[in-house]
Amino acid sequence: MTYMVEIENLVKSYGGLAAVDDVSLKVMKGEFICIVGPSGCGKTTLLNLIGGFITRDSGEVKINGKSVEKPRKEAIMVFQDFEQLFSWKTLESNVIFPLVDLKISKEEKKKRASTYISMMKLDGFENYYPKELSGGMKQRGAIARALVTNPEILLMDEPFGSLDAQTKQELQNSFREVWQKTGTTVIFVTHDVREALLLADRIVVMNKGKISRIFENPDKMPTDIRVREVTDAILL
Amino acid sequence: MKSKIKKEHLKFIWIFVLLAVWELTARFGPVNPISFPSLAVIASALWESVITGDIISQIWFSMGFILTGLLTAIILSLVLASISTFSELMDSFTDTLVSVFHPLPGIAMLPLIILWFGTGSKAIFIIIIHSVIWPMLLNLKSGFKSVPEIYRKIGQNYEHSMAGILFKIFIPASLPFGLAGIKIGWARAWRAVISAEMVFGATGGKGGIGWYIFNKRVFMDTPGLFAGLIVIIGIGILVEDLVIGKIENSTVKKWGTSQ
Repeated sequence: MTYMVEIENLVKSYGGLAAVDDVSLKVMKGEFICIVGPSGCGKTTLLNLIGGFITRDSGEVKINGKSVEKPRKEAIMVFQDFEQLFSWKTLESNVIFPLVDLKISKEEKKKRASTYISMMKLDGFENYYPKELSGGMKQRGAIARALVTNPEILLMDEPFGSLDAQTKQELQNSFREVWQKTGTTVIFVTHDVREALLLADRIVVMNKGKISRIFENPDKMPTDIRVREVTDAILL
Repeated sequence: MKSKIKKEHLKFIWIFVLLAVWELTARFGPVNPISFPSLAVIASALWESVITGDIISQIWFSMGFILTGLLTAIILSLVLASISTFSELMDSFTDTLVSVFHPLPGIAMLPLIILWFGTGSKAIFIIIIHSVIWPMLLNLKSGFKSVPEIYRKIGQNYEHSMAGILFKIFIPASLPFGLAGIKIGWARAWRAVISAEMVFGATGGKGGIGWYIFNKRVFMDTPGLFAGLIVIIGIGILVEDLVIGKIENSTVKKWGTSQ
Protein backbone atom coordinates (compact mmCIF):
# COMPACT_ATOMS: atom_id res chain seq x y z
CA MET A 1 0.00 0.00 0.00
CA THR A 2 1.51 3.30 -1.02
CA TYR A 3 0.37 6.47 0.64
CA MET A 4 0.01 9.92 -0.88
CA VAL A 5 1.09 11.63 2.33
CA GLU A 6 3.18 10.06 5.08
CA ILE A 7 3.82 12.01 8.26
CA GLU A 8 6.08 10.47 10.88
CA ASN A 9 6.84 11.85 14.34
CA LEU A 10 6.52 15.40 13.07
CA VAL A 11 7.51 18.17 15.49
CA LYS A 12 7.43 21.93 15.12
CA SER A 13 7.71 24.31 18.04
CA TYR A 14 7.63 28.05 18.39
CA GLY A 15 9.58 29.53 21.29
CA GLY A 16 9.75 26.26 23.17
CA LEU A 17 6.03 25.59 22.71
CA ALA A 18 5.22 22.60 20.53
CA ALA A 19 2.63 23.65 17.92
CA VAL A 20 2.83 20.23 16.31
CA ASP A 21 3.95 17.58 18.73
CA ASP A 22 4.99 14.15 17.49
CA VAL A 23 2.29 13.77 14.85
CA SER A 24 2.11 10.70 12.62
CA LEU A 25 -0.51 10.26 9.93
CA LYS A 26 -0.87 8.44 6.65
CA VAL A 27 -3.19 9.63 3.92
CA MET A 28 -4.24 7.45 1.01
CA LYS A 29 -4.49 8.60 -2.58
CA GLY A 30 -7.86 10.19 -3.26
CA GLU A 31 -8.74 10.39 0.41
CA PHE A 32 -10.52 13.38 1.91
CA ILE A 33 -9.11 14.18 5.35
CA CYS A 34 -10.50 16.87 7.62
CA ILE A 35 -8.40 18.14 10.50
CA VAL A 36 -10.53 19.64 13.26
CA GLY A 37 -9.68 21.11 16.63
CA PRO A 38 -9.88 24.23 18.75
CA SER A 39 -7.93 27.33 17.69
CA GLY A 40 -4.27 27.02 18.49
CA CYS A 41 -4.32 23.23 18.35
CA GLY A 42 -1.72 23.22 15.59
CA LYS A 43 -3.94 22.24 12.66
CA THR A 44 -2.87 25.13 10.43
CA THR A 45 0.78 24.60 11.36
CA LEU A 46 0.42 20.96 10.39
CA LEU A 47 -1.05 21.95 7.03
CA ASN A 48 1.78 24.42 6.40
CA LEU A 49 4.32 21.73 7.26
CA ILE A 50 2.73 19.32 4.77
CA GLY A 51 2.83 22.08 2.15
CA GLY A 52 6.49 22.85 2.88
CA PHE A 53 5.73 26.47 3.70
CA ILE A 54 7.46 26.16 7.06
CA THR A 55 10.40 23.97 8.01
CA ARG A 56 9.96 21.21 10.57
CA ASP A 57 12.09 20.73 13.65
CA SER A 58 12.17 16.96 13.37
CA GLY A 59 10.25 14.04 11.95
CA GLU A 60 9.34 13.42 8.34
CA VAL A 61 6.75 14.53 5.81
CA LYS A 62 6.63 12.67 2.53
CA ILE A 63 4.45 13.27 -0.49
CA ASN A 64 4.44 10.39 -2.95
CA GLY A 65 7.40 8.94 -1.10
CA LYS A 66 9.47 12.10 -1.51
CA SER A 67 10.48 14.18 1.48
CA VAL A 68 8.95 17.69 1.48
CA GLU A 69 11.55 20.43 1.83
CA LYS A 70 9.81 23.37 0.17
CA PRO A 71 6.42 24.23 -1.39
CA ARG A 72 5.73 22.12 -4.44
CA LYS A 73 3.28 22.14 -7.32
CA GLU A 74 1.97 18.70 -6.32
CA ALA A 75 0.37 20.11 -3.18
CA ILE A 76 -1.57 23.34 -3.73
CA MET A 77 -2.76 25.44 -0.84
CA VAL A 78 -6.13 27.22 -0.70
CA PHE A 79 -6.44 29.87 1.99
CA GLN A 80 -9.24 31.27 4.11
CA ASP A 81 -8.46 34.85 3.02
CA PHE A 82 -10.79 36.17 0.29
CA GLU A 83 -7.92 38.18 -1.15
CA GLN A 84 -6.02 35.21 -2.52
CA LEU A 85 -6.95 35.91 -6.13
CA PHE A 86 -4.58 38.40 -7.71
CA SER A 87 -6.37 41.73 -7.77
CA TRP A 88 -4.84 42.82 -11.10
CA LYS A 89 -6.03 39.77 -13.01
CA THR A 90 -9.50 38.83 -14.17
CA LEU A 91 -10.99 35.63 -12.83
CA GLU A 92 -9.97 33.79 -16.00
CA SER A 93 -6.39 35.11 -15.90
CA ASN A 94 -6.21 34.14 -12.26
CA VAL A 95 -7.19 30.58 -13.08
CA ILE A 96 -4.72 30.55 -15.98
CA PHE A 97 -1.90 31.86 -13.75
CA PRO A 98 -0.63 28.38 -12.72
CA LEU A 99 -0.47 27.41 -16.41
CA VAL A 100 1.54 30.37 -17.74
CA ASP A 101 4.87 28.57 -17.88
CA LEU A 102 3.37 25.50 -19.52
CA LYS A 103 4.25 24.94 -23.16
CA ILE A 104 0.71 24.64 -24.42
CA SER A 105 -1.26 26.96 -26.66
CA LYS A 106 -3.21 29.89 -25.33
CA GLU A 107 -6.47 28.27 -26.46
CA GLU A 108 -5.62 25.11 -24.56
CA LYS A 109 -4.91 27.14 -21.41
CA LYS A 110 -8.23 28.95 -21.76
CA LYS A 111 -9.99 25.66 -22.33
CA ARG A 112 -8.51 24.10 -19.21
CA ALA A 113 -9.33 27.20 -17.18
CA SER A 114 -12.90 27.23 -18.43
CA THR A 115 -13.36 23.56 -17.44
CA TYR A 116 -12.62 24.39 -13.81
CA ILE A 117 -14.44 27.72 -13.91
CA SER A 118 -17.57 25.84 -14.99
CA MET A 119 -16.94 23.13 -12.43
CA MET A 120 -16.92 25.78 -9.71
CA LYS A 121 -20.06 27.34 -11.26
CA LEU A 122 -18.50 30.64 -12.24
CA ASP A 123 -19.51 30.67 -15.91
CA GLY A 124 -20.01 34.17 -17.20
CA PHE A 125 -17.70 35.78 -14.67
CA GLU A 126 -14.46 35.08 -16.59
CA ASN A 127 -13.72 38.74 -17.26
CA TYR A 128 -14.58 40.04 -13.79
CA TYR A 129 -11.90 41.42 -11.52
CA PRO A 130 -11.78 40.04 -7.95
CA LYS A 131 -13.11 43.28 -6.48
CA GLU A 132 -16.29 42.73 -8.51
CA LEU A 133 -16.85 39.25 -7.06
CA SER A 134 -18.45 38.27 -3.75
CA GLY A 135 -16.50 36.44 -1.06
CA GLY A 136 -18.02 33.10 -2.03
CA MET A 137 -17.23 33.63 -5.70
CA LYS A 138 -13.65 34.54 -4.85
CA GLN A 139 -13.28 31.27 -2.93
CA ARG A 140 -14.79 29.38 -5.86
CA GLY A 141 -12.24 31.10 -8.08
CA ALA A 142 -9.40 30.20 -5.74
CA ILE A 143 -10.46 26.55 -5.80
CA ALA A 144 -10.71 26.62 -9.61
CA ARG A 145 -7.19 28.03 -9.77
CA ALA A 146 -5.93 25.39 -7.35
CA LEU A 147 -7.49 22.60 -9.43
CA VAL A 148 -6.39 23.79 -12.87
CA THR A 149 -2.99 22.09 -12.74
CA ASN A 150 -4.67 18.91 -11.54
CA PRO A 151 -2.48 18.70 -8.41
CA GLU A 152 -2.07 15.48 -6.46
CA ILE A 153 -3.11 17.14 -3.23
CA LEU A 154 -5.20 20.10 -2.20
CA LEU A 155 -4.31 21.64 1.14
CA MET A 156 -7.24 23.73 2.34
CA ASP A 157 -6.96 26.06 5.30
CA GLU A 158 -10.55 26.81 6.35
CA PRO A 159 -11.45 27.95 2.84
CA PHE A 160 -15.12 28.45 3.76
CA GLY A 161 -14.41 29.80 7.24
CA SER A 162 -15.33 33.42 6.48
CA LEU A 163 -18.49 32.75 4.48
CA ASP A 164 -22.09 33.21 5.60
CA ALA A 165 -24.01 30.03 6.38
CA GLN A 166 -25.90 29.78 3.09
CA THR A 167 -22.93 30.50 0.81
CA LYS A 168 -20.88 28.09 2.88
CA GLN A 169 -23.38 25.31 2.28
CA GLU A 170 -23.46 26.00 -1.46
CA LEU A 171 -19.68 25.86 -1.62
CA GLN A 172 -19.48 22.70 0.44
CA ASN A 173 -21.88 21.00 -1.95
CA SER A 174 -20.13 22.14 -5.11
CA PHE A 175 -16.74 21.28 -3.70
CA ARG A 176 -17.94 17.82 -2.74
CA GLU A 177 -19.14 17.22 -6.29
CA VAL A 178 -15.88 18.50 -7.73
CA TRP A 179 -13.85 16.31 -5.41
CA GLN A 180 -15.86 13.27 -6.53
CA LYS A 181 -15.13 14.16 -10.16
CA THR A 182 -11.42 14.91 -9.81
CA GLY A 183 -10.45 12.34 -7.19
CA THR A 184 -7.84 14.66 -5.74
CA THR A 185 -6.45 13.92 -2.30
CA VAL A 186 -7.66 16.64 0.06
CA ILE A 187 -6.40 17.70 3.46
CA PHE A 188 -8.90 20.19 4.79
CA VAL A 189 -8.53 22.17 7.99
CA THR A 190 -11.73 23.40 9.62
CA HIS A 191 -13.19 24.10 13.04
CA ASP A 192 -16.69 23.38 11.76
CA VAL A 193 -17.61 19.84 12.80
CA ARG A 194 -20.64 19.72 10.49
CA GLU A 195 -18.44 20.64 7.55
CA ALA A 196 -15.99 17.89 8.46
CA LEU A 197 -18.77 15.30 8.75
CA LEU A 198 -20.20 16.35 5.40
CA LEU A 199 -16.95 16.19 3.47
CA ALA A 200 -14.36 13.93 5.05
CA ASP A 201 -13.58 10.24 4.68
CA ARG A 202 -11.68 10.51 7.93
CA ILE A 203 -11.78 13.21 10.59
CA VAL A 204 -8.56 13.86 12.47
CA VAL A 205 -9.05 15.59 15.82
CA MET A 206 -6.11 17.62 17.07
CA ASN A 207 -5.53 18.94 20.54
CA LYS A 208 -2.46 20.78 21.87
CA GLY A 209 -0.37 19.77 18.88
CA LYS A 210 -1.22 16.09 19.05
CA ILE A 211 -3.72 13.93 17.20
CA SER A 212 -6.18 12.96 19.92
CA ARG A 213 -8.56 10.90 17.84
CA ILE A 214 -9.40 9.79 14.31
CA PHE A 215 -12.99 9.18 13.20
CA GLU A 216 -13.92 7.10 10.18
CA ASN A 217 -16.74 8.87 8.34
CA PRO A 218 -18.10 6.62 5.59
CA ASP A 219 -21.66 8.00 5.71
CA LYS A 220 -20.79 11.66 5.23
CA MET A 221 -23.94 12.65 7.04
CA PRO A 222 -23.69 15.30 9.72
CA THR A 223 -26.42 13.91 11.99
CA ASP A 224 -26.84 15.46 15.43
CA ILE A 225 -25.48 12.36 17.13
CA ARG A 226 -22.34 12.36 15.00
CA VAL A 227 -21.84 16.09 15.49
CA ARG A 228 -22.07 15.65 19.26
CA GLU A 229 -19.73 12.69 19.18
CA VAL A 230 -16.99 14.59 17.30
CA THR A 231 -17.55 17.81 19.26
CA ASP A 232 -17.12 15.89 22.51
CA ALA A 233 -13.84 14.49 21.24
CA ILE A 234 -12.65 18.01 20.43
CA LEU A 235 -13.63 19.41 23.83
CA LEU A 236 -12.08 16.52 25.71
CA MET B 1 -20.65 60.57 -12.87
CA LYS B 2 -22.83 63.62 -13.26
CA SER B 3 -21.04 65.59 -10.57
CA LYS B 4 -17.69 64.62 -12.09
CA ILE B 5 -18.57 66.27 -15.40
CA LYS B 6 -19.76 69.33 -13.55
CA LYS B 7 -16.47 69.55 -11.71
CA GLU B 8 -14.55 69.42 -14.98
CA HIS B 9 -16.72 72.22 -16.32
CA LEU B 10 -16.10 74.27 -13.20
CA LYS B 11 -12.36 73.94 -13.76
CA PHE B 12 -12.71 75.51 -17.21
CA ILE B 13 -14.90 78.27 -15.85
CA TRP B 14 -12.28 79.12 -13.24
CA ILE B 15 -9.52 79.14 -15.82
CA PHE B 16 -11.63 81.49 -17.91
CA VAL B 17 -12.18 83.79 -14.88
CA LEU B 18 -8.44 83.88 -14.15
CA LEU B 19 -7.67 84.73 -17.78
CA ALA B 20 -10.30 87.47 -17.76
CA VAL B 21 -8.83 89.01 -14.60
CA TRP B 22 -5.42 88.85 -16.23
CA GLU B 23 -6.58 90.54 -19.36
CA LEU B 24 -8.42 93.30 -17.47
CA THR B 25 -5.36 93.97 -15.32
CA ALA B 26 -3.09 94.10 -18.36
CA ARG B 27 -5.33 96.52 -20.20
CA PHE B 28 -6.68 98.77 -17.50
CA GLY B 29 -4.58 98.11 -14.41
CA PRO B 30 -1.62 100.14 -13.15
CA VAL B 31 0.93 97.80 -14.73
CA ASN B 32 3.71 98.17 -17.24
CA PRO B 33 2.73 96.35 -20.46
CA ILE B 34 6.38 95.36 -20.92
CA SER B 35 6.43 93.28 -17.78
CA PHE B 36 2.70 92.44 -17.73
CA PRO B 37 1.67 91.83 -21.35
CA SER B 38 -1.88 91.22 -22.47
CA LEU B 39 -3.12 87.74 -23.45
CA ALA B 40 -3.16 88.58 -27.13
CA VAL B 41 0.51 89.52 -27.08
CA ILE B 42 1.40 86.36 -25.15
CA ALA B 43 -0.65 84.23 -27.52
CA SER B 44 1.07 85.65 -30.56
CA ALA B 45 4.50 85.15 -28.95
CA LEU B 46 3.53 81.56 -28.23
CA TRP B 47 2.26 81.05 -31.76
CA GLU B 48 5.44 82.48 -33.21
CA SER B 49 7.74 80.31 -31.15
CA VAL B 50 5.67 77.26 -32.10
CA ILE B 51 5.81 78.14 -35.82
CA THR B 52 9.55 78.73 -35.80
CA GLY B 53 9.87 75.44 -33.98
CA ASP B 54 11.99 77.14 -31.36
CA ILE B 55 9.97 76.18 -28.30
CA ILE B 56 9.21 72.71 -29.59
CA SER B 57 12.84 71.83 -30.07
CA GLN B 58 13.64 73.14 -26.58
CA ILE B 59 10.88 71.05 -25.06
CA TRP B 60 11.99 68.04 -27.01
CA PHE B 61 15.46 68.57 -25.63
CA SER B 62 14.26 68.78 -22.00
CA MET B 63 11.80 65.91 -22.33
CA GLY B 64 14.50 63.68 -23.79
CA PHE B 65 16.52 64.22 -20.64
CA ILE B 66 13.60 63.58 -18.37
CA LEU B 67 12.46 60.40 -20.09
CA THR B 68 15.89 58.78 -20.15
CA GLY B 69 16.61 59.95 -16.60
CA LEU B 70 13.23 58.80 -15.30
CA LEU B 71 13.56 55.42 -16.97
CA THR B 72 17.08 54.86 -15.66
CA ALA B 73 16.05 55.88 -12.15
CA ILE B 74 13.01 53.58 -12.24
CA ILE B 75 15.13 50.61 -13.30
CA LEU B 76 17.77 51.37 -10.67
CA SER B 77 15.19 51.72 -7.90
CA LEU B 78 13.48 48.49 -9.02
CA VAL B 79 16.79 46.67 -8.71
CA LEU B 80 17.48 48.19 -5.29
CA ALA B 81 13.94 47.53 -4.02
CA SER B 82 14.08 43.93 -5.27
CA ILE B 83 17.32 43.02 -3.57
CA SER B 84 16.03 44.72 -0.43
CA THR B 85 13.01 42.42 -0.46
CA PHE B 86 15.11 39.29 -0.45
CA SER B 87 17.94 40.41 1.82
CA GLU B 88 17.58 42.09 5.20
CA LEU B 89 21.12 43.41 4.99
CA MET B 90 20.41 45.18 1.70
CA ASP B 91 17.09 46.37 3.11
CA SER B 92 18.83 48.31 5.87
CA PHE B 93 21.44 49.53 3.38
CA THR B 94 18.84 51.02 1.03
CA ASP B 95 16.97 52.44 4.03
CA THR B 96 20.15 54.26 4.98
CA LEU B 97 20.69 55.50 1.43
CA VAL B 98 17.15 56.87 1.27
CA SER B 99 17.31 58.57 4.65
CA VAL B 100 20.60 60.23 3.74
CA PHE B 101 19.87 61.33 0.19
CA HIS B 102 16.11 61.79 0.10
CA PRO B 103 16.15 65.07 2.10
CA LEU B 104 18.84 66.52 -0.18
CA PRO B 105 17.24 68.63 -2.94
CA GLY B 106 18.72 68.04 -6.37
CA ILE B 107 19.36 71.74 -6.86
CA ALA B 108 21.55 71.76 -3.72
CA MET B 109 23.75 69.16 -5.41
CA LEU B 110 24.39 71.46 -8.36
CA PRO B 111 27.66 73.04 -7.16
CA LEU B 112 29.13 69.63 -6.36
CA ILE B 113 27.91 68.14 -9.62
CA ILE B 114 29.36 71.02 -11.61
CA LEU B 115 32.66 70.44 -9.82
CA TRP B 116 32.66 66.74 -10.57
CA PHE B 117 30.96 66.51 -13.94
CA GLY B 118 31.04 70.01 -15.41
CA THR B 119 27.92 71.61 -16.86
CA GLY B 120 27.20 69.18 -19.66
CA SER B 121 24.29 66.87 -20.23
CA LYS B 122 25.89 64.25 -17.98
CA ALA B 123 25.43 66.60 -15.02
CA ILE B 124 21.74 67.19 -15.80
CA PHE B 125 21.24 63.46 -16.17
CA ILE B 126 22.76 62.84 -12.74
CA ILE B 127 20.57 65.50 -11.12
CA ILE B 128 17.46 63.92 -12.61
CA ILE B 129 18.44 60.49 -11.38
CA HIS B 130 19.13 61.86 -7.92
CA SER B 131 15.76 63.63 -7.85
CA VAL B 132 13.81 60.56 -8.95
CA ILE B 133 15.54 57.54 -7.49
CA TRP B 134 14.99 58.17 -3.76
CA PRO B 135 11.25 58.87 -3.74
CA MET B 136 10.82 56.05 -6.26
CA LEU B 137 12.80 53.62 -4.10
CA LEU B 138 10.89 54.67 -1.00
CA ASN B 139 7.57 54.02 -2.73
CA LEU B 140 8.62 50.72 -4.27
CA LYS B 141 9.92 49.45 -0.94
CA SER B 142 6.69 50.21 0.87
CA GLY B 143 4.80 48.79 -2.12
CA PHE B 144 6.72 45.52 -1.95
CA LYS B 145 6.18 45.38 1.82
CA SER B 146 2.43 45.78 1.29
CA VAL B 147 2.22 42.67 -0.92
CA PRO B 148 0.14 40.13 1.04
CA GLU B 149 2.05 37.16 2.43
CA ILE B 150 -0.49 34.91 0.67
CA TYR B 151 0.61 36.19 -2.76
CA ARG B 152 4.19 35.26 -2.01
CA LYS B 153 3.09 31.83 -0.78
CA ILE B 154 1.12 31.23 -3.98
CA GLY B 155 4.21 32.13 -6.02
CA GLN B 156 6.28 29.66 -4.00
CA ASN B 157 3.57 27.03 -4.30
CA TYR B 158 3.91 27.09 -8.08
CA GLU B 159 7.68 26.86 -7.68
CA HIS B 160 8.42 30.21 -9.27
CA SER B 161 11.94 31.55 -8.93
CA MET B 162 12.57 34.74 -6.97
CA ALA B 163 12.72 36.67 -10.24
CA GLY B 164 9.43 35.08 -11.32
CA ILE B 165 7.75 36.02 -8.05
CA LEU B 166 9.13 39.52 -8.41
CA PHE B 167 7.94 40.14 -11.95
CA LYS B 168 4.70 38.17 -11.89
CA ILE B 169 3.53 39.07 -8.41
CA PHE B 170 5.43 41.81 -6.58
CA ILE B 171 5.60 44.39 -9.35
CA PRO B 172 1.93 44.21 -10.45
CA ALA B 173 0.73 43.88 -6.84
CA SER B 174 2.55 47.04 -5.81
CA LEU B 175 1.72 49.04 -8.93
CA PRO B 176 -0.32 51.65 -6.99
CA PHE B 177 2.83 52.50 -5.06
CA GLY B 178 4.94 52.40 -8.21
CA LEU B 179 2.62 54.84 -9.97
CA ALA B 180 2.66 57.17 -6.95
CA GLY B 181 6.45 57.01 -7.12
CA ILE B 182 6.42 57.81 -10.84
CA LYS B 183 4.16 60.80 -10.20
CA ILE B 184 6.52 62.23 -7.59
CA GLY B 185 9.52 61.27 -9.70
CA TRP B 186 8.15 62.98 -12.77
CA ALA B 187 7.36 66.19 -10.86
CA ARG B 188 10.81 66.23 -9.33
CA ALA B 189 12.60 65.47 -12.58
CA TRP B 190 10.70 68.24 -14.34
CA ARG B 191 11.69 70.76 -11.64
CA ALA B 192 15.27 69.54 -11.58
CA VAL B 193 15.67 69.86 -15.33
CA ILE B 194 14.27 73.37 -15.51
CA SER B 195 16.45 74.55 -12.62
CA ALA B 196 19.58 72.91 -13.95
CA GLU B 197 19.04 74.31 -17.43
CA MET B 198 18.72 77.82 -16.01
CA VAL B 199 21.95 77.44 -14.10
CA PHE B 200 23.92 75.69 -16.84
CA GLY B 201 22.73 77.70 -19.83
CA ALA B 202 22.91 76.17 -23.26
CA THR B 203 24.62 72.81 -23.26
CA GLY B 204 25.63 71.43 -26.61
CA GLY B 205 24.02 74.30 -28.55
CA LYS B 206 20.58 73.80 -26.97
CA GLY B 207 19.37 74.81 -23.58
CA GLY B 208 16.01 73.22 -23.06
CA ILE B 209 12.86 74.90 -21.83
CA GLY B 210 14.50 76.19 -18.62
CA TRP B 211 17.18 77.97 -20.59
CA TYR B 212 14.52 79.23 -22.99
CA ILE B 213 12.52 81.12 -20.33
CA PHE B 214 15.67 82.33 -18.61
CA ASN B 215 16.93 83.74 -21.89
CA LYS B 216 13.61 85.47 -22.55
CA ARG B 217 14.04 87.42 -19.34
CA VAL B 218 17.60 88.36 -20.23
CA PHE B 219 16.34 89.90 -23.47
CA MET B 220 13.27 91.39 -21.75
CA ASP B 221 11.00 89.35 -24.03
CA THR B 222 8.24 89.08 -21.42
CA PRO B 223 5.56 87.69 -23.78
CA GLY B 224 8.03 84.97 -24.79
CA LEU B 225 8.71 84.25 -21.11
CA PHE B 226 4.99 83.81 -20.46
CA ALA B 227 4.68 81.66 -23.54
CA GLY B 228 7.34 79.41 -22.04
CA LEU B 229 5.51 79.25 -18.70
CA ILE B 230 2.23 78.36 -20.41
CA VAL B 231 3.94 75.54 -22.23
CA ILE B 232 5.44 74.28 -18.95
CA ILE B 233 1.98 74.32 -17.33
CA GLY B 234 0.48 72.61 -20.36
CA ILE B 235 3.02 69.82 -20.28
CA GLY B 236 2.48 69.34 -16.56
CA ILE B 237 -1.26 68.94 -17.06
CA LEU B 238 -0.78 66.73 -20.08
CA VAL B 239 1.55 64.33 -18.31
CA GLU B 240 -0.27 64.18 -14.96
CA ASP B 241 -3.86 64.11 -16.18
CA LEU B 242 -3.56 62.40 -19.50
CA VAL B 243 -0.54 60.11 -19.46
CA ILE B 244 -0.44 59.06 -15.81
CA GLY B 245 -4.22 59.40 -15.43
CA LYS B 246 -4.76 57.07 -18.41
CA ILE B 247 -2.34 54.52 -17.00
CA GLU B 248 -4.16 54.64 -13.66
CA ASN B 249 -7.56 54.25 -15.28
CA SER B 250 -6.49 51.20 -17.25
CA THR B 251 -4.71 49.56 -14.31
CA VAL B 252 -5.14 50.29 -10.61
CA LYS B 253 -8.53 52.02 -10.94
CA LYS B 254 -9.86 49.20 -13.11
CA TRP B 255 -8.54 46.58 -10.70
CA GLY B 256 -9.87 48.51 -7.72
CA THR B 257 -6.48 48.56 -6.02
CA SER B 258 -5.75 52.29 -6.19
CA GLN B 259 -5.08 53.82 -2.82
